[in-house]
Amino acid sequence: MAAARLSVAIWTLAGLVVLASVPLWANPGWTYVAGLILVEGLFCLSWNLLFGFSGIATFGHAAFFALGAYLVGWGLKGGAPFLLLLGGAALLGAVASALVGFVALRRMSGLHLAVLTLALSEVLFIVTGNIHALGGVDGMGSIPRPVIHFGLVEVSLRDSRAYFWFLLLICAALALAMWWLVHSRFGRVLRCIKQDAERAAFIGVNVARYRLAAFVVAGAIAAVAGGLSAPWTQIVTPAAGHWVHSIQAVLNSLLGGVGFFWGPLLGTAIFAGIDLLTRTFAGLSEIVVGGILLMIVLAFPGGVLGFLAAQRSRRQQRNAARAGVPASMVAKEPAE
Amino acid sequence: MSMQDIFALVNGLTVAMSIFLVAAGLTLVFGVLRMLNFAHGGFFMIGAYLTFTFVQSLGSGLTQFLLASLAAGIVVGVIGVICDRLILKRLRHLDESYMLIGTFGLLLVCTGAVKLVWGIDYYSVSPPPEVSGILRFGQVMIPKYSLFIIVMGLVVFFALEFAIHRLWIGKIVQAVANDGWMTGLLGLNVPLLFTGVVVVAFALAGFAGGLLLPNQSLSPELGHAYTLNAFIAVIIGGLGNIRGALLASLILGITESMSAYIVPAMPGIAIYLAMIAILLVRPNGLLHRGVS
Amino acid sequence: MSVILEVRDLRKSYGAMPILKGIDFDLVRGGALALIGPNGAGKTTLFKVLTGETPATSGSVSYAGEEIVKLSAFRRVRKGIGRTFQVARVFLEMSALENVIVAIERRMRMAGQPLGRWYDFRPSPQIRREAMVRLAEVGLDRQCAMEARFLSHGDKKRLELAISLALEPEVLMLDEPTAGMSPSDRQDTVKLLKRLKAERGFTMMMTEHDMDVVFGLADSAMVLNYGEIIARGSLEAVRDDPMVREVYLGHEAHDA
Repeated sequence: MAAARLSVAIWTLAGLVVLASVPLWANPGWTYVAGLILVEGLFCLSWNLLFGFSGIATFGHAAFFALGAYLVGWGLKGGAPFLLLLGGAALLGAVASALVGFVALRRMSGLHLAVLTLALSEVLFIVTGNIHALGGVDGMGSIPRPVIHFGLVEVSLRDSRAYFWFLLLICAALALAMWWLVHSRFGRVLRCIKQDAERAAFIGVNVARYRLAAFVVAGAIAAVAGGLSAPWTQIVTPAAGHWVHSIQAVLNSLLGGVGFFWGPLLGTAIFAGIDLLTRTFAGLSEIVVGGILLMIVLAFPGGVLGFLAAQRSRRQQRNAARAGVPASMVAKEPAE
Repeated sequence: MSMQDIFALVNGLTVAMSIFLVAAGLTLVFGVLRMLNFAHGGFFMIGAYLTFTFVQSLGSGLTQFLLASLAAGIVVGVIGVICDRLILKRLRHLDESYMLIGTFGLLLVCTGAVKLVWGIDYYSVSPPPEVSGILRFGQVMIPKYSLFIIVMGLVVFFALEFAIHRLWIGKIVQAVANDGWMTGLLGLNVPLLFTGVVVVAFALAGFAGGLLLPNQSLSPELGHAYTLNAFIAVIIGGLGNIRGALLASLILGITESMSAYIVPAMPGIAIYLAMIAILLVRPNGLLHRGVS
Repeated sequence: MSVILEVRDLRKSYGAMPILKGIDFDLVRGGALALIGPNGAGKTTLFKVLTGETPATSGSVSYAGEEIVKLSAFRRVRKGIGRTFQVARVFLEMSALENVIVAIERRMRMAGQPLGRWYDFRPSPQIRREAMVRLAEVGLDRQCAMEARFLSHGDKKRLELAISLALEPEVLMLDEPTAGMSPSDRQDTVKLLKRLKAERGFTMMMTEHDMDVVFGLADSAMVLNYGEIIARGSLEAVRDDPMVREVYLGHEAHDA
């Protein structure tokens, strides 16, 4: 078991090193895409904290992303300090999701929650499209890359390589924080709630409070993801909070595998590839996204990682059968 | 009541009926098949686009328009059966979230198909000459087309009510809705009935798409907008309840038209706010579940 | 003989339909009360109301002197009322060991005990050891690594028992603890419960259809019929009660 954990740690470290090296060998276009994948990946990870690990299906998660993006974008244009703005985005995301969660999570069924979150994000979309200070329908452009002041030291993130490394740092930190959360006691309780909420209540769990906590964490992280994206893309439009963006999180997570922590990140990377290939024909991208969703729901609910895990366990069972061990005794690895 | 109030009321009723026409099919599908179909608005949209194409060849009179809408309804009904056989039948047995996600995927496919076939431009169609223009009742001026929609909405409502409560087929549908297994034991072909309900619901959506074509600009966004509004009406009205769907549609329609008055810059927002407010107070909708 | 649970005039109606029509009883600390009655009498409903799964329409439920009738389920669990379900509910995607670990962590949390350093994410070795002990108690130590969904029906019930006991409840409410079991499994369960109760000293209340189980485990009984208690007292008294015989006639050969 310890060996497995060590190998996970090594793979994670290796992954980080590879990602960090990207600006050194890839052209600016690819670096840009890599940065987008990181930010979107963080956003999708935060959505899956709710869906895959707490059993809460929201369809308006992009609203929090948009809140963070607009706050940071607007603040940077006004010259406010970047780190403060990121913190503000987290706070804004947390407060907004606390409000939404307080109202929505207590009494509502899956469908009601889905429609409510969708409607709320529509409201935000319409409102942001109408506020002139935020650029209205065309959005807010020319967002500057920031310079961080630490007292006497100045760290300039104006260069895209520097910003990419900052992006990687924060995304990795938050992703690892979520990983820790999911594997902690808190995460264990959330997983119990997802599997059988009533049973969880009957072991003394305050289900509503745990769900709200998960919702707040997810909302805050989504907002930070948005805040990080604003200086990277240097433009924020109402599309950041559009339902299409929310569905993207659903798609990426399902594609990679919602039962696995890193599934959403994998799904984001895979989809970025698919998107590049289908971007030419209008309408094709919707068909592809819709088709993938249908295919996954109908045939591969475990996503790519689920499929691979099923293959692996089938191999293990075959080997165990040869060795004479009953199939159900083969220990399953916990979701990583 | 002032002129503007009457106009707002009529407008509200029109919006209400347009929501109801889509919500009715959705309610039917949920009440009988226990299926949440997020793609329902997509079929409405396909019906609208089909009617648009048919009207191009048939001409712009009222009869041609109705024929085109009916034809669109039939085509969408057929598409509905195919979808049901291939996709919906399998989605029905899944967990609620996956059902929603799967049908959302279907909605996206509808939207993509529409974009591929008809392009991304917005189209605008005028109502047929027999129902365009304004009716005068003394001081009051009401657009003929609004009346047309209100009338059609009521026709559909009463037709459904009659079919479900008076006709023998309606009783069977109610029985299936309440206990499909038992009805199957009584010798009724339940899967065939389910398919029948799907055909009716989808054909209704397609037909509604045609009828409402002159009501707004034709764009690939319609599918999503109408699905969301229809779902809101169905949730507020209580799942599976057609009278509830009508009541909810009326509430939403009038709220929307009043807000267009007060906040014209943000169309559609009032419906969402109204739903949020209602769900806060009554999380399970205004009326209760059933097929009625 | 102190009373741990005091129920007074408890009523429950679903809409206009009354299911429980004024239930009064006392549960003695350390006792084992069997709730029996024909199907549809309201036993499950009474259980649901007592554990908080469903709210009561009116009446009072007092636990250790405190009124709990309006408390939600999880708060009642925190007070010390544990419960198993007729169809065993466990966390299917987690291993048997993890199921018990979660319950232990819950218990320690509820008791305010420290659970280790805040940044730890794996359960501590003591908790794991305790979980293994509890699994062994119910005879599931070999299946500790198995995902709960692969357990047999009887094993799931034992796992649920382990989970419930890990919470160290003062009162354990068992909903048909031997439902759907083969006769030998049933006997094993009775022996297990008897032993655990003697060791741990909790109070037990169960609903049951099988009279052998009732006679094996309970020290008193309460008969429910159409939402009312028609007999209560020691097992012999209840068995010999003429009204009970009438209600059960043709139902169970044992009462004849």
